[in-house]
Amino acid sequence: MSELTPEPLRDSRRRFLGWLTGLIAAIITILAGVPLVALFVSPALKRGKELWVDLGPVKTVPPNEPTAFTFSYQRVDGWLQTMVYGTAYAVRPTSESLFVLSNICTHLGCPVRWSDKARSFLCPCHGGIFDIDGKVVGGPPPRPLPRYRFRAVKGVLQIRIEQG
Amino acid sequence: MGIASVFRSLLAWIDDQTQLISIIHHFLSEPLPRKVGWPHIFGSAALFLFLLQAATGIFLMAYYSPAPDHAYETVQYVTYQLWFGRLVRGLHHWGASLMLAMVGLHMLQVYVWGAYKRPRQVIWIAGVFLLLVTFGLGFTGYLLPWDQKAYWATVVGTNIAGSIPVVGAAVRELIRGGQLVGAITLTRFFAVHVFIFPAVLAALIVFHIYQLRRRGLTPPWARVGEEEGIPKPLLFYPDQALKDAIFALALLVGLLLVSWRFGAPTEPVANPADTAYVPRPEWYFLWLFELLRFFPAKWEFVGAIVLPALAVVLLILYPYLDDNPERRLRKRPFSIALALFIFLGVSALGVEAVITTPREKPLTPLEKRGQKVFLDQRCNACHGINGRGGTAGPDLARSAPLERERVEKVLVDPTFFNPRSIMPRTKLPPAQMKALVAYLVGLTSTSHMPLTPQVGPRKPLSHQEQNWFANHKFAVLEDPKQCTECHKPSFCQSCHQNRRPDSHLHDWMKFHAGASASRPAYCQVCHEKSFCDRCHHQALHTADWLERHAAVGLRNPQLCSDCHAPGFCASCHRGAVPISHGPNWLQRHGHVEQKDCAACHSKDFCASCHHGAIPASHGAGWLQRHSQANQKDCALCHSKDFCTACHHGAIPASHGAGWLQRHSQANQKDCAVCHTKDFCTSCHQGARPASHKDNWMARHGEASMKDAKVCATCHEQAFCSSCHGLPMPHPQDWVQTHHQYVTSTKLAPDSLCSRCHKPDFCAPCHG
Repeated sequence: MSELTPEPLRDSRRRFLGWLTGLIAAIITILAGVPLVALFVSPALKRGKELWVDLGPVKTVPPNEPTAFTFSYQRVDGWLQTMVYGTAYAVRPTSESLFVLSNICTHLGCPVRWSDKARSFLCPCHGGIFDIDGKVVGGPPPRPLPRYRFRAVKGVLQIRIEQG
Repeated sequence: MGIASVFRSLLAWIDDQTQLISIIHHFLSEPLPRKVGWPHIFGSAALFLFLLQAATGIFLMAYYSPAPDHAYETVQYVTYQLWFGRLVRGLHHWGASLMLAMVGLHMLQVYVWGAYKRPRQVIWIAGVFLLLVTFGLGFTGYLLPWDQKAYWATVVGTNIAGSIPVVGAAVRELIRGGQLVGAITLTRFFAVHVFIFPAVLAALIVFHIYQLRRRGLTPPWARVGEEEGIPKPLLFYPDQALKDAIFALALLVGLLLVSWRFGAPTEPVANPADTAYVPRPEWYFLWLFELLRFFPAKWEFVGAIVLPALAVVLLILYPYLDDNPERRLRKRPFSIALALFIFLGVSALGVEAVITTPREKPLTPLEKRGQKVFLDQRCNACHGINGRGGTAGPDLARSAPLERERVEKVLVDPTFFNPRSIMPRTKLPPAQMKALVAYLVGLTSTSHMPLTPQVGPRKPLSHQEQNWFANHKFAVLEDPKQCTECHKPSFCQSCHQNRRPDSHLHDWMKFHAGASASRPAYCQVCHEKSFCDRCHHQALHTADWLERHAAVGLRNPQLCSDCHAPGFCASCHRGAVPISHGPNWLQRHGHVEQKDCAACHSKDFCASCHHGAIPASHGAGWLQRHSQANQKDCALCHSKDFCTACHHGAIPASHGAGWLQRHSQANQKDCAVCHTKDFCTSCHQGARPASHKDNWMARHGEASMKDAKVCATCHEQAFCSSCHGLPMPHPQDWVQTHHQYVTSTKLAPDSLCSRCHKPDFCAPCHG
């Protein structure tokens, strides 16, 4: 520090200028900070479009026979667009009711397959067994098979896919 | 205890633990001489902008991928899909230019105020390196968006490094990470730009500011060595800090406005194959770019490397070379003149570079209208102008010079020159066509595609590759669903209306059934369901097709030609007549079962010839007129039997009075229309009728007496009288009138009567 110290300034003037400097600094921080923070949180907060994917005609699902449908859709992953392929099982326990099961085993994610002989969904990886409703009846899976939200539009069964 | 006192206690505790508060306090309380004020804001401004660049850069980096496959798309993603992405990118782009401007202004201010002189030479030298690193940040950051300007500017810039004699090629390869500007160039530039240079810059800034604090700010205009005793009544904080803050706020507001309005300019994605692109560097390199033009190729490195290097060396050494203790301007004529010379020289080079940039020639009013038509018609969806625009069609500014007539011909009928062209026809009123043609013919290498608002969703990067147009069919084949995510079938039709896809050639009609059954999604990319119904609804060859096909084929002939070659119909039909309608059909057809006719013909069909049961041609008075008709026309419908069905009995008008006598003079061909040969020989044998054989002369009297009408069929009264000398056969009043011919009741043997009558024939009446 220099030997020649500054002239003592009135505290109030110095405080005011200091306060003004601080205010301007705060304005700068907000003006620059808001766009930056918004940019950073944008992908987390921006909800993807609701996506309904066609499976097939509803009337091709017979009662009590899980019917496999393959589907594909373009998944938007940030700036990447990739085609995703999947299988879903439509089950009609009675002629009036219907639900659509995912074929992904809840144990470690292997694809399950309906076996007519066993009347169950069987997982080839670790022996998980699910009944026609998707409930676990054997093996290590911890939860029942997930169900898709579905709807029928002009006779075509559709499932809802969550886009990131 | 209030919040303020709690806060103060907290700060006291932090200071006690770390001494940080005291250090900051000491830093902010720097005493400053009088006359330090607004001219001294540029250093802080440069620092503020560096911090802004760092902040915006870090947040942009959260989304950026430094690989040629992804770089452009991530930048597009940030710009168009994230909140404030465009603004932040703009801040970073324009902030870079502003930072360089502030660094330059700061250097200029320091130079003019003589603050580089003893004892602050090292601060100046650090500043020179700060300037160089800032240039380096600009150069490395430029490549990261991986657009055309980025790529080609880097190619040119690294080529300049390559112009150094002996080591140039090695230096260039080192910078590029290989022979070409590519993926490795991008990743190393990214590493240098986000880490190495900022770290070096931060270190230099800390050194620079530390040394400045050590020496204190130069008292304005004080002589070297005479700084002691100059009062320092001001404090950095808040006196100078407020000015710095106000200026920083002004810069930030300016940047925000420019970024909001203009965003960051982006060109199309880098295309290494596009050698026609003319790159121009950013404004802070323009002077160097222009300087190179003064040197022939072999000596380019002198202008590119040697002179700038010498300038840097001069800058570094200048504080030591300039031993004039004076800081006041009028006492430093040489320094000021040198500064002015360099400043003006560099500015002049920059201005000249700007002036000599080839500019697009202004459009005439007609061309302007043509440009509007061009954009309204969306020609730019397929055609580029100097590299910007679609890639399906040729680049209109880079193809061969366009001739007016040819351009108009292609617009009206694109298949005229190339039958396989996919370009749709352009239908325009004459005035608009003239304007469009004028615009197209006037395109040159400096023309540019006007920016247009985006229509529809953004193109994925795959669609911006040069070969997408040729290769998209493989993507469709691989997975049709990825197309239908974005495109409706009508999109495909816009190109394929003129030209079937290559897959739909060569017996496609035969194979399409199998293809559509196994992969319906493949058809659905291009065709709506109604397209299939067009054939399958109308022209599906069901069991009743034979009955229906004539009606469908007549209504819609091209439907049949989709499947059948032209000769196919002739396999059943000959001309317009089916095989079943063989020879004499017109004569025979009246006898065919009507339900068989209905198999092919509607009722209207018969009525086209017939009116009721009678053809329309056989109108009123036909029976009377029909003999005048062309007998060939009769033969179209009627066989010979048809005529004799009427004419056995009723005599045709041609066989008028005296026909039997005259008929031998008629043309025998005409007879044959109605009469077969049998008909004539039924009367005649040779020249005489057959009946008049076998001693006819002796018998004929008896025959005539049996049925005189038969004789009258052929012979007139005069025929008999010519032999008999008497009216033969005898008329009804013969009994009263015969005495005129007979002189005696006893018939003489040579009398006319005795030819027929016995001598005693008269006796029963005459006694």
